[in-house]
Amino acid sequence: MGCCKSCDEGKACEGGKAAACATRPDLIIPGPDPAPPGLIEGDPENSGGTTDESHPLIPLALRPARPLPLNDRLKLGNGEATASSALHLEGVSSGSVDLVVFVASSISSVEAILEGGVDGENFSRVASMVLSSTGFARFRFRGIRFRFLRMTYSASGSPGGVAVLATTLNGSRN
Amino acid sequence: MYSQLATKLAVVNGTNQYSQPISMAGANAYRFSITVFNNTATSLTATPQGSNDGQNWSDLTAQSSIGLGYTTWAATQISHAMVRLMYAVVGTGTIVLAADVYTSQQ
Repeated sequence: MGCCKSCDEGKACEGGKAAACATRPDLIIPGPDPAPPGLIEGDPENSGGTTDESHPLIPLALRPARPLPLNDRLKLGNGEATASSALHLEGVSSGSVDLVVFVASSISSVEAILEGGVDGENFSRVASMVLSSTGFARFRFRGIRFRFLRMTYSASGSPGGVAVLATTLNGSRN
Repeated sequence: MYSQLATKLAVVNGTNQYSQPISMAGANAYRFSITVFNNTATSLTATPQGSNDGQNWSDLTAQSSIGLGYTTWAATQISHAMVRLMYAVVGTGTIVLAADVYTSQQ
């Protein structure tokens, strides 16, 4: 809105009663640069911080509400230990690990350890469970602040003992 | 194909560590290299492992007595779909290392 009737009508100003009077009514005065769509101030994911959670050797991702089978026929002999492939977390800070032990022949215990890491190389223990028989077991984790997760397993029992198991990871944002 | 497996991996005796799996992708030979930066233990044994399903791993020929500095070794006639490296510390202590692998068709 201009300062006089002429300005309002887009004609020559009648007297310049205000500094803004010289502007045409249809002229848009640019203000500060608007924020890019989707940018939330202070949000590292949208303020130039890295959003790439991937790793050249870690293609698997755990996402909320998308169960991820980590293995479905992992064999462990007596005294053996192994680790799963690592996976990176996409919006997951809690969840659960589902384990099914199909076979535990001459195996007294299977320890499953959930480990977290940030560089994709070094991992530390987050949670663990010891299974002493066949069947299903679940343990939960929450409040993790890692970039990557993996599982490690070990079995102990009698010589010649064998266990076969499957693992599924479930992630959530809570 | 060349892959960096570790750049600053700390391995403690009693807790073996494992690299991420590397697809052989038609290759049948590999050359692993390890650089040990720090060693408060006796030595490092690095065991390549092969797998077809990505779950169950078989030991291949190990490289033992790895000390400070650079060590490389190779193998051919590899028929697994993927390989990885298992690190085990001999003696009491910690070893910090970097590792890489180059797979090729021989």
